Amino acid sequence: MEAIFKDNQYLIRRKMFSFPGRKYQIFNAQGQQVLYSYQKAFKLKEDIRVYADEAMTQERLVIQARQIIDFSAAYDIVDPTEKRKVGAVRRKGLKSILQDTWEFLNDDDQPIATLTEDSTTMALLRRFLTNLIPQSYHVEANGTRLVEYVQNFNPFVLKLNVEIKPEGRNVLDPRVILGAGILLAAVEGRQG
Amino acid sequence: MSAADGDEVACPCGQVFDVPRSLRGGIANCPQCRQAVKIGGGHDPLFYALVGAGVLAVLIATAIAGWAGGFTAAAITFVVGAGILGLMAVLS
Repeated sequence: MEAIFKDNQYLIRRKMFSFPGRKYQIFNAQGQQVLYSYQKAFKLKEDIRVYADEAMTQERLVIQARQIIDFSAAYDIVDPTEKRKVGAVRRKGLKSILQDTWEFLNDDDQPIATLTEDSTTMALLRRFLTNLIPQSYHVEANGTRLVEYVQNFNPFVLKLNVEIKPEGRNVLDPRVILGAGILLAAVEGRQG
Repeated sequence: MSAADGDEVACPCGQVFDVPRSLRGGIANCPQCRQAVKIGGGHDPLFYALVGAGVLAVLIATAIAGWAGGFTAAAITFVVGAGILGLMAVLS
């Protein structure tokens, strides 16, 4: 695995004024941009590419939806340098109506951890009052917190802090953690 | 896993393996060479239901336009509706 995936803290920033697609910059704990992602507009089947930099010549991750329309959408995450699927994430459609809930799947498609929005009350306030309330999520497995995704309050630029706990590295592939972070910024950012 | 429970996938390395239906349209690693293999299997049933509803809506709109505005209105409605459906099919 490449060194860029060995940090424990990242910041995902959705660029403003990136029409027609959406652009995401991923920074490490030192503030260096380590990845860049471009999400094409007008694609019915989500296909997000993550590159080494803004030149977009070296692909680092591919995030692809399995279906065009799927209530419980699943996204496979592939490392193109290894030509191998490293895992997947699946949105739990029914539960996510009131509180965002995702499953992390290993490379064999077995569930290994669950991502949940911070609290039901805050989730309901976001849905029915204002989506200006920043979102935060945590990933757990067997009662152990593995990863935290915390959004900064900023009505104009979406910034999502990703913190991988030491236990998180033993259970989850950091490429899936980052892929899920980009998906949270891309998919969950649309609600409200 | 039996064929009834899932789909058979052929990897370029020659290995044939079974995957669950939940992986349709997705990607799985070949158990032999460990490389990612795309899995066919078409769209979700909901997609076909929405396409069917779209075709029906175009036909109903064409009929209404034809009844209210004559042949030209019906033709324009049909072309616009079919164009939208065609564009969606291309984008998918």
